[in-house]
Amino acid sequence: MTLAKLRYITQHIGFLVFTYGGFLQINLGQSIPCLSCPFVYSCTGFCYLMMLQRALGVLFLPLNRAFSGADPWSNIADNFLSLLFGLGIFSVLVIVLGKSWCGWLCPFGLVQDWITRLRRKLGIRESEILVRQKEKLSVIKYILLGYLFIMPVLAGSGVLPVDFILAFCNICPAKALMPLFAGDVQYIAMDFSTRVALGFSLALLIVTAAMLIGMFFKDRFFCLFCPMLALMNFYKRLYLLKLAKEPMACHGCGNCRRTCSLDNETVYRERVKSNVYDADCMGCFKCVEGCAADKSLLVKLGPFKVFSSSRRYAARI
Amino acid sequence: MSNNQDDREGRLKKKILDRFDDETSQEIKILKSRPDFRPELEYFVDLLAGGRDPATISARTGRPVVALMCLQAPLELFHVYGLQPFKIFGGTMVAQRLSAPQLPAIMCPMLRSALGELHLDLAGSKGQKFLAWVTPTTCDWVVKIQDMMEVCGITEKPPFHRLELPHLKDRTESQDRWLEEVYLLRGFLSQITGKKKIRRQDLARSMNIYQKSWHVFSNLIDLKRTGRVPEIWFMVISNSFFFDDAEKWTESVKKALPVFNKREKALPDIFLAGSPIFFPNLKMLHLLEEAGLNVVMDDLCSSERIFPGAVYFDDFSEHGLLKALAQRYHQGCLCPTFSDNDRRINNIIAPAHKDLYKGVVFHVLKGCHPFDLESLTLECRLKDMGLKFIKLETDYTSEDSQTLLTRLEAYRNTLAN
Repeated sequence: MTLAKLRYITQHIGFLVFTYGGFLQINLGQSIPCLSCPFVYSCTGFCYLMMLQRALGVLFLPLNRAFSGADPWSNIADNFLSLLFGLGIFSVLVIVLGKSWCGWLCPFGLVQDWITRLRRKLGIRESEILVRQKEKLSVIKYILLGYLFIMPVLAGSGVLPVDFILAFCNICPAKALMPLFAGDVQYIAMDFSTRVALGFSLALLIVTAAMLIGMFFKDRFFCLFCPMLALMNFYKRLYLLKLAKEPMACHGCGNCRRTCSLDNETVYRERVKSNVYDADCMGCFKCVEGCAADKSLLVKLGPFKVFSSSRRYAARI
Repeated sequence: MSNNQDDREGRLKKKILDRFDDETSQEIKILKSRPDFRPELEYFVDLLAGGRDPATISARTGRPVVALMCLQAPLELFHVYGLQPFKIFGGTMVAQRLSAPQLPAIMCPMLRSALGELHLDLAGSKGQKFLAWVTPTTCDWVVKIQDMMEVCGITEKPPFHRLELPHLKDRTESQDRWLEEVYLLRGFLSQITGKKKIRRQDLARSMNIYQKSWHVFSNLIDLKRTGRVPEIWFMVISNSFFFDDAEKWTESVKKALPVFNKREKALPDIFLAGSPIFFPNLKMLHLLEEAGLNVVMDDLCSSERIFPGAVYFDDFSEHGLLKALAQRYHQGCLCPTFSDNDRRINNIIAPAHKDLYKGVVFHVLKGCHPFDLESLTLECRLKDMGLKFIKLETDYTSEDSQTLLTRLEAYRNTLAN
């Protein structure tokens, strides 16, 4: 079995488990490092971004209470511990599997891959304009990460309405699209309950439509903006599952760069260092599969070699 | 031109043609009389013996033949247009005599020989010419090939298409430029064949055919790494690639693989780098064998580098496929004519770190400047690593054989120490 097939199967298992595992009463907690959307009622575990926003919002509630005259310190220790506990589990999961959560398990990633497959079946080429703007676009994920941290704090402390606690979730296209797989269409409808809710539901629809168009013309388009990828970057020196390069063995054929869904150049350009995990890498290891030089690219789990590139493997049909 | 001159030239051509046949058949005889010759290898020897005129190749493959200088033009593109690409080369000493008076004294003997063979009208001896010429602008000699053909009075003038090869590989602009050239090549092939459009599925199929050839060829390379494939047979097999349909050739290589089931002798393993070697001029390979050196790796464009390597593609749009081909044939090419070519040097040096060979023999054809210049860099790098390096400059004559052999034997002794 090829790595590509194994990845495709794993992605589907990930999709089924994270989207429908709830029907089997499976609960994997709230610190999942991929877009396992909590708005899917049959989901198995929650995307950590939601947990993080909620924990930040709750942590800053004392400020809100202090403004309204209530005891600001009640439950603060519990809330803080809850944030640390969630962060701890998230950290362990990220350290073990690195960014392969995105490339191998993320259900929303698989949805993007389905859209890419459809485009390829139709023989439509990837948009060069979007590829060339990649460097500029990928900065947005850090802006969104900042937005994801600041908004819950402001909402928790009462500066903004409470809907802003889940400010990122409210504009995340996974919220609109993933529940559809469980037959739930409520998030693609306009919410007229409050002005803020209306604003968010409108923003969600616009973002989702834009993302769908982008995802059709560019592989893994949403991943360029995903704050989860940005958050995971803080752990990049600690990953156990690593992407390594032997620069001397590289012929510079460019297969790695061309096959990368996120058009990363680090693997191709690196001529000295062994660690080639790019900030935008999603750990799919397609570059290792496509590499036509023997043992130039390696996937390692700690000190152990899991998979290495080979001339013959790349030439398989 | 007077009648006397015509007669003289005619006589010279006839004389050279006879000697040309002698030179080729002599090498064929040597190959077939080797103790390691097996019936499975006959196919490759016969291809080389059968001549390189377009009529023969076209009859064999059922496709019109396009002459190709160098290996940067995607072969798959010719295939999908129903054409047979044929890499122009010259390996005969005697053919050089026809082109020698008009050409510079110090010039790549391979091209001099190729021009001589063309002048000899071997290419059109059976009435059929190359459908077209495709030339990527690699070294100075290749860049000027059309002019040299005119100077040599070569009458064959089919449509000539140049591909402007960007000599920087790592720049995005250069890669885009090369992709444009591949699109222009597609337009040219479309024009000469009259096929307005190609289906992307057909292009993907052609790419898979060459991918399969490369896969089987890779198996042969792996056998060579273990010292089981003598470089002479490896060269014969790789040289014959352009003489037949890729699928038939691949099947024959597959059949030949079991022939190389054991290593004959425990000789020092070496890396052969430098200028290409073409049949029937296998002088250097005979000398290496005679000196007791075993070639386990090489980077000659007539041998291990006849394929660009695996073209990995997952974008099945026509643009995606052409982009994959363009990048692989440009960025993945380890020709010394590129300017930012440190990866080529690494390709030679890296296996030494894994003790895959003991030393490097660098073969330079007199007048082959890119390789000659590159040998300086390589020598410095190898000597820094404490590895043995020898540069042998030669041409197609046999006068220097004894000198070369003595040097190679001395080199072998240094490897043993």
